[in-house]
Amino acid sequence: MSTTGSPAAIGGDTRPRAQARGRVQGPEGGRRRRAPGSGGLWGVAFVAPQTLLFLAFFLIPVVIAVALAFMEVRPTRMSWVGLDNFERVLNDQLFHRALLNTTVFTAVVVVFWLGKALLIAYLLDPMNTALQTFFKSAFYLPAVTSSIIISLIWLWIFNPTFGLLNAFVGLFGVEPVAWLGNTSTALPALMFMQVVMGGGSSIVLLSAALARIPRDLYEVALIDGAKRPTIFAKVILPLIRPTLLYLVVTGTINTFQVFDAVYVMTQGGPQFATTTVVYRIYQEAFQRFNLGVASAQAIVLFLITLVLAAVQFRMLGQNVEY
Amino acid sequence: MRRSALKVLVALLALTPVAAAQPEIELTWWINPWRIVTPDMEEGQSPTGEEYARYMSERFMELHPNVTVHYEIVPNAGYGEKITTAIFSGTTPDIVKDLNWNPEWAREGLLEPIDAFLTDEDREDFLPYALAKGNIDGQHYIWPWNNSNNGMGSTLLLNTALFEEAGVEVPALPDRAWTIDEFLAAAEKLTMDRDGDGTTDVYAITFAARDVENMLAWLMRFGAKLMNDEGTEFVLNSEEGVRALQLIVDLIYEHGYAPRGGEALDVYGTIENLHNGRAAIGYGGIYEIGRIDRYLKEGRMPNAIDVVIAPFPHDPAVGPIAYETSGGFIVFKQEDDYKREMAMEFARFLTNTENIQLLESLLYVTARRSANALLDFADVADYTDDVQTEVQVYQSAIDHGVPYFGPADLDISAAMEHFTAAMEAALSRSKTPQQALDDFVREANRAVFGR
Amino acid sequence: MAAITRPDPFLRDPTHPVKPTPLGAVVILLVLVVLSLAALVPLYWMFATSLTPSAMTVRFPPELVPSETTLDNYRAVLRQPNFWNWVKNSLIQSLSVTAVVVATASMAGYALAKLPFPGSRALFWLFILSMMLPFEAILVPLFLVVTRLGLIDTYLGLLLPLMAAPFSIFLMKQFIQTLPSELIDAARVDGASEPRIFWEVVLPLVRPGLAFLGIITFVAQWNSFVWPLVVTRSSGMRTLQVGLVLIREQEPLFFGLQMAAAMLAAVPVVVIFFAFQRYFLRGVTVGALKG
Repeated sequence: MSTTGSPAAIGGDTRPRAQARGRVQGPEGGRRRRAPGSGGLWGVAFVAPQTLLFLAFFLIPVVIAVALAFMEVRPTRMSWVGLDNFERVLNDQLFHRALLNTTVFTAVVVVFWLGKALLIAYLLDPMNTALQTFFKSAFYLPAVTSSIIISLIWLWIFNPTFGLLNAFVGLFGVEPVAWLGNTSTALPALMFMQVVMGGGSSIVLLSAALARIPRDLYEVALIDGAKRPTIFAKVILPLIRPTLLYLVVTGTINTFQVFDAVYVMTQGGPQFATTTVVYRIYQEAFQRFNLGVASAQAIVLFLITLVLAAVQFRMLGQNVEY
Repeated sequence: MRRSALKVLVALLALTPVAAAQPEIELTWWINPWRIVTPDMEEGQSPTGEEYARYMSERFMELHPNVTVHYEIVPNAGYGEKITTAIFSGTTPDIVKDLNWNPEWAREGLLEPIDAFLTDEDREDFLPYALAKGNIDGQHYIWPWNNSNNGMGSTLLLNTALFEEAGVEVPALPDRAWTIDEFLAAAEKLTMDRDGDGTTDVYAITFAARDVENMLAWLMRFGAKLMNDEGTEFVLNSEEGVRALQLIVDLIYEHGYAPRGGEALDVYGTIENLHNGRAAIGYGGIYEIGRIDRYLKEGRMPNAIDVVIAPFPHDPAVGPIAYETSGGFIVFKQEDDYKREMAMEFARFLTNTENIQLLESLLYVTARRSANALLDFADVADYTDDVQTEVQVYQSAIDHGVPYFGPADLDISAAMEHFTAAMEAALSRSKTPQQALDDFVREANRAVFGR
Repeated sequence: MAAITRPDPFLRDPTHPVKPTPLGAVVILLVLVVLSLAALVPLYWMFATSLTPSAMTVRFPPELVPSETTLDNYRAVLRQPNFWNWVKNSLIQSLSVTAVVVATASMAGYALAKLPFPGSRALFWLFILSMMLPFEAILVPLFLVVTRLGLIDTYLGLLLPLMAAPFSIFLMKQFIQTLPSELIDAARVDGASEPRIFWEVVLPLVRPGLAFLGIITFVAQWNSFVWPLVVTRSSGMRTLQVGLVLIREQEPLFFGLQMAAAMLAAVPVVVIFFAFQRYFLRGVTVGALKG
């Protein structure tokens, strides 16, 4: 099996290929993939368990949810109403507000949190084992507690009368601020919380991706006289692209669906400044029992997310092998 | 001779129990956590909410051995999801506490009407507005249980020590009624800067934008109402409503009798301020006195505060107003006649005169007159001597109860988030009271009535 | 083992070809400390509050180091009658779902990355698309499906829907995608069967990915609330998070108790994290084929 120790200057280098081929390839070169369709039965077999689970517990509910969007759904009967729900949703001022809030929230949070994660992973990569373990654990720790708990903690931190943040800014002579009570600070407060507390698992993942970059690629680049920025752009970035794509896509999808913080901390206020799309869906479905409208809202959310994901795939989705 | 043998036979037959005529059935009921102290609990044990449900289920099963009662304590967070999924999948339990009660359920035929199971005695004994809450299109669907709430929207709590320190007299018994002018005079004195450093140490009262019941209570002081009498329109932006909201805003910003930042607070913010002595007046009724007692026993409050209850101050032209509300149990539609009968029997069991009194440990008043007459709340607040007086003040206050949220059979939840938004806007001064209330009325009418 | 001739450089990995200078290393250290502090302060507060006697949490200005500490909050949580039952149910849920997801998602990811078949691309897109609908929207339909299958209030009903994991498939596909196909082809040429290739060639090379997946799946399951609440009816099946919400609702102003409960709930996850985090370190990831 594989060696677990440091692969350094022991004779048997763990990447014989590059040398054996006698030339150094960038990551895109040297690809020889199986012809499409040749995975055959094994491919189907391997994919089967998840696909079955997916069909029963994801696909069918999703199809039902889509169908519900075109219906007026009452507990004892359902009637087809065509696009009525969608019309209502698209004309709903509060839904527009929710879309705006959610878009702003997602754009800011994903950029900052992913940027922070990449920076930290990059800075950590050349450090020794002890430091890596320590910091990865430190950054990952917030992810260990549920987002509900994190929201409760920050609810207290933002408390206008007792909170830590007002105590802190008070040291600089700033008057207490109602962070979650002020329409101009509420959403930024939530964004700040998300960026600060989030990203732990991204850092771990990016670290792992960075760690897999074969050392000889660095060495070759150094021999060629490359400086750090070039190395980052030409060696690192392309090789972590699949991980980046995963993080960007899933990060966007997840952040677009932000709910817990709003539910626990602001209930959509003040004056709807922190109302998000999924919070509206929740209210519509579980407080007003309006499944049809809620499903229509969900479909609008889905379409927007789809477009964003498609763009991200186009930008980051080229196939990569080491 | 044959005759006497026959008599013996008949007598014997009469004595043998009716052989297994009653089918074995199961009943399931859901309730959110009510921390009622049950008779089978140990001294000093703190109720979690589970004990009440278990106790009632077991007692009922003793009375009806052929019935198995399952209970589930459903947290408040998530109650909506639980009920919604149950309703839409047809897997509802049999009896449920009417949290998130929606009149549509009755109209959709999801619930069993209780009228056939109410005796004349019941109809007399249950408080009229408690029964009226469940009256949809002439039929009743709720077995009334708890009367009023924890006092929010009806009464205030006055910290007697702070009143004394400020040199303000607590309003007089028997019902501690006071006018708005008297309240304002008191508020001025109750706002204290003890050490003269320019920052207020004690405020008279707290206003919290997300505290719907109490905010609405204040807005109604001069006679404003949330909805018109027919329940067809929102009318809170009347002159009286604007005047009341302006008064609140002035109390915060002009006079400084209440702290700023209220737009971010909910009712717990007001409770905190009362408990730690930052505000001389808080909100609530006898339940809140029980809360103080509980917190003291569990070491949750540093120092005891002695409070008395007073109604909200009233405008002499309008008279005293309190919040009329109640809660109870609903029964979901049953297929089987016997099961329906037993489900109703269980709901009656929960709300009969004897069992309804268990609410006493929570310092809730019940929905039955006969039970209320028997309550004395003797052991429920150890730290203070005279709870009885407060109970009487509280009960006299809620005698003036009116519905705050429109007719019972109308679901206005879609409008109320706009109410909170309006309060947030007014308390943060991002809108004038007139603007805030106008916007609220417009949005509320659109959300509920579509116009 | 590090090369004997090179002295161990200050703070840095001795084998990394692109190292910062010693000064750079210090700067990096400082930056990392500052960034991690922002995330850790709230957690420290959670820890401190859990030890604070309840009367003291509503103080202003807040005390950073509590002057009085107590274990009463923890005792109060553990005294909850069904606490260990809740933990048991959460463990059952988290461990079984994690095991199944790691196994089946890696298989599916491998298939999508290296064993293309007609329609595999479409299937991949189907998985991606399904992630874009929020759970709130499919909760009721999912409940309907589970009801029809007769799985309400059963372990299967609780666990099976949680095992469908498109995010995880996506992750594993990305990881496996970057493996050189030559390795796999070489093994095929050697006559190894597909399952054997998967087990002996692919999985060891993506251990960090598996470890990562295991951790985030475990955490997500451990912290899940809505589905366990909705699908279970008997008190015997209640999970920890639902129990914790009940505790929270008992005492909305009682931060000490809530934070103690949160700390206790976090313990297993921390343990799992530390058990698996070594897989993220450099040495493990570079696997060699040794015949």
